[in-house]
Amino acid sequence: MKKELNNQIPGASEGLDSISPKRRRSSWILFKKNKIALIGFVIFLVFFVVAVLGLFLTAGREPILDPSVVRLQEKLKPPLSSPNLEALAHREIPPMRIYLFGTDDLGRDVFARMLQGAWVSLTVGFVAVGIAVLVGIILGGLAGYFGSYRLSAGYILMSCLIAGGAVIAYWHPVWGAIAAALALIVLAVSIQRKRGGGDKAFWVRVFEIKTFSIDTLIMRLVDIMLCFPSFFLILTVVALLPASIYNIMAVIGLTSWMGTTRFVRAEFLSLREQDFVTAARALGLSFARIIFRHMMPNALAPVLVSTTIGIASAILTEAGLSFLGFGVPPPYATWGNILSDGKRFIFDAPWLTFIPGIAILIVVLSFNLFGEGIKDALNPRLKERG
Amino acid sequence: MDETSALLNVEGLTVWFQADGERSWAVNGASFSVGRGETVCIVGESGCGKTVSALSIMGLVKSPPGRIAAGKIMFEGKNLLSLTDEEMQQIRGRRIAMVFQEPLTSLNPVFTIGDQIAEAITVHEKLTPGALRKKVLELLWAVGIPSPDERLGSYPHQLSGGQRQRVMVAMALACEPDLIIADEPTTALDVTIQAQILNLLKSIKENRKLSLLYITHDLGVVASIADRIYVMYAGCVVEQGDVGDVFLEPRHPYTRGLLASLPDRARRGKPLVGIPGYVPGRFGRPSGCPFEPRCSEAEKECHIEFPQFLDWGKGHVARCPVVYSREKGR
Amino acid sequence: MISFLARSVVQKLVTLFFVSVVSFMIIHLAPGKPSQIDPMNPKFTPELVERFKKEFHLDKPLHVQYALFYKDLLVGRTVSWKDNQPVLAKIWERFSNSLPLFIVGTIITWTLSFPLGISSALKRGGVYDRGVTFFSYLLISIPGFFFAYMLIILVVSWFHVPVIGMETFGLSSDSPALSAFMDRLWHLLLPSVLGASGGIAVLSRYVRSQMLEVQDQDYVRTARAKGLTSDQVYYKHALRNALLPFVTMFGLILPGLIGGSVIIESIFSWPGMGRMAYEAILARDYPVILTVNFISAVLVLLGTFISDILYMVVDPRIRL
Repeated sequence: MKKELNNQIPGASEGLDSISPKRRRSSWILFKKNKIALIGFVIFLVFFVVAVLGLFLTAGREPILDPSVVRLQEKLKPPLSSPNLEALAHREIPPMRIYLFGTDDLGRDVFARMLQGAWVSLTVGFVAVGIAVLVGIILGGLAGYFGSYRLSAGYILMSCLIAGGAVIAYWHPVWGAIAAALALIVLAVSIQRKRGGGDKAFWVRVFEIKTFSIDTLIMRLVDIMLCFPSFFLILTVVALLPASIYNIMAVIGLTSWMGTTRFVRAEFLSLREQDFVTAARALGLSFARIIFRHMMPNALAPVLVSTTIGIASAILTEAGLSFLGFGVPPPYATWGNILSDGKRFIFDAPWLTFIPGIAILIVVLSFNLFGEGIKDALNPRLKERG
Repeated sequence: MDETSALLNVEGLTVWFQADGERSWAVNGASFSVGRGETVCIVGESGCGKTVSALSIMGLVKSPPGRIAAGKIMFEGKNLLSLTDEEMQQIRGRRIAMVFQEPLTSLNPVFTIGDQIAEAITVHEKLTPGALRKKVLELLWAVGIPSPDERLGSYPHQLSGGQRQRVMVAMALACEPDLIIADEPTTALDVTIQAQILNLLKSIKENRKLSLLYITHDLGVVASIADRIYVMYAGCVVEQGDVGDVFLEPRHPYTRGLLASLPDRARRGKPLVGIPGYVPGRFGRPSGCPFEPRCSEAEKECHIEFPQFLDWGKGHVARCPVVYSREKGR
Repeated sequence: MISFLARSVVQKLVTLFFVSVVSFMIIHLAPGKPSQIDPMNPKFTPELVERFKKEFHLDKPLHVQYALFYKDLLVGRTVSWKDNQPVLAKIWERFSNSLPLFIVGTIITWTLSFPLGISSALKRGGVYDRGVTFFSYLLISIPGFFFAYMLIILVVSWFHVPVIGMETFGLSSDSPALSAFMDRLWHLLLPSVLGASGGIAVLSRYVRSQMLEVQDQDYVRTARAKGLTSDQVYYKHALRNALLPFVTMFGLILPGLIGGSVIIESIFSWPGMGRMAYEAILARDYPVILTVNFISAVLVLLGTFISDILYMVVDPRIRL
């Protein structure tokens, strides 16, 4: 139905297919030609496979590679050394009969710990950035599309009551309930207002006062968030909250959505002025449909770029937190805390520093290069330069 | 046109651009010449290679991706394509100047127009600050900028479109060049302003005895300004001659199509005539006549053989054997 | 123009207010009440805790606490919970330690990124450009702490100079001025290079892309058509336009003054701002955390304000 209608409007069909298969294919060709980006992509895939393998090999009650077995008699063995089989109990013997990456100061197999850490890095990176991108797309989309829509005082009062009530209900359920009741009253008033005819009561009209626009609200929120020194903020919150891997993901995610928001907003602001959106609106499509079917696909490309680069920086942030001792709590091994534990033995057992350090470097580098490759492939202006 | 006395003589110019591993020909063996004190127009649809030809003369084709693959550009007996960068710099601005299509983007937004015109002078001549200022004022006055004293310190965005283009013309005139190349200088302007700029160029050309190579798609402009005309299609010249001859007796179906598509008072009330189809893609060289797919007169051999110039007398030549064999015989 | 500035100031003050509220809320809504400073410590008798609570207004409702805290902060009376020192004096002391790091780091960043970015834009696509690009990505991607250890190993084993701390321990004041100065310089060098490394990479990439963007503009073609040499074209016409966005960055480096780097300062045992913030977080020293946060928010807002003004000064198109 939609397709047919669109075909009747020249501008519409052109815009809707703006990421046409042809363009996608030529982007792919261009991406393939960018050797560095392609290497980044391959490393990214390898890392993904290793992380998933790592999860299966190190998880469970009796993992094949146990990262938590302590062998005090085998501590600080260099990489590729073989275990002293006689000194070890049966369950302590590494299944490969070799310490591929050596052992740490407690005689734990660094290879197994690295595998476990790979999964942690991967999930932290993806979940944190997933949160950030989700928040960013929603807020940026709202700001960009409904930018000029001004909120009425009633709505603001209502949302304040709901939010405030939720906070208060945490301590005083009674007051929370009162706030909820007030919010309901405001809701009722605003519904009645819509129905109401000519003469309205004074307080109904107060509710109708237009205040600021959604765009202002969201962009000020971005400004506020950007005022915090980000790593310091993350550190503070992580230190205050109970140590857990989920908290770290959430905190990194909730402190890094601002870039995506600005991006998506700018993208939407320019998209909504374009003919194909006007055409879609002229066809009477719903807001949701225009936003998600018509505008979002066009805005996704830059978001994809910022996502890959965001994952890279989230992995770095997690490693930094782990390094400072605020990261994922033991017994989980992460690359950051393997390095952090190993730094005391930097001259005696440099592999404890170098193996995780280089692993982080390679993975982060691959994400960055991959992101840059997509950016080049999707940027038509650069394309013309050949 | 006598080849030896020509100021500029372009022969067999071929320029291609490389993009995504594919070559696209922008100019395909174009030849044209400009005599001293002459106004020559190159006409064609957008994408026919007019602008690239002009940029080739100035040595401003971006390389990569562009490349001048063949041809000669003789300017006063010297092949510009064989000059070094330094020698070419001496030519640009001083001997050949150019006026571009978009005056807003062609002026540097962060310098005042006074600075930009003065720079065009100081590149090639050493002048005292006083003399420099005097010369810039003269130039601004010559191109008809009101109260040049005040305008000297203006930034491009503070001027109107027409004034910006006048500034561009002043910059082109700065070193009294022998040839000015104007690349659709009026396209981005309002119709009334267009006429003003056109008249300005015309009077400057008359007063200063210079040559003008004017590139446009607007046949109305051509009629009012040109001495001679080259009609370009798909990177090569399909018809050339004195403007009167070509306008009155076009000998190539493409030129006829262009002229027929003009609104004409005599045919008021009738629908405008267009040329069916589009300019062919620039990938690959056609073996036959490039206009054949859109041509209403096309015959079988048009598809096979690239047509040569056929002489209609008085320097009027056209690349269409079909029209020639049908009309010349009579 | 004036009205724009006034509006911008008001807007920034409102933002600052919200920042202060949000940071206060984050700290006070987090699990673990500030009053439970160290319940295990036998020295903290209930009376002491009570006195402590009173002293820091912890018995008051949140909004009163908020008002009292920021009132104290603005008149400079806030004291650290850890050692009862005035917070601003503490910050000032640490700030003066961080300042040399910041200055040297910034100088390194800005003097290296511009030549790198411009030259790699001019040699676009060549071996040099690709090398610089790859190297930048390497710098962006390397974890700071790992890089720090690699450099420490290198410097210590090659030059045999101590690098941890601000100066060699035990180097007394009666040693010759030159060697004391050299000692300070050696200690300063590594942390500032580390602090600058990420900045160099990001900034030089940005310079490069700006330069590429500007090179394709029509006015660059016009400049060439005038007969300017390519150096004049690049360094006058192109660069002047490419530099516009960077003028605003002068304002944006201001927040770096207080941020410092937590990780680098703790690796090098550098008693700067970052270390202090880190220690404050470890000790749950809320007045210090909140003050650092507040000052850095002020600096961010001040920085954007300055960059707005700078932009108006340098870009003739923006006149309000």
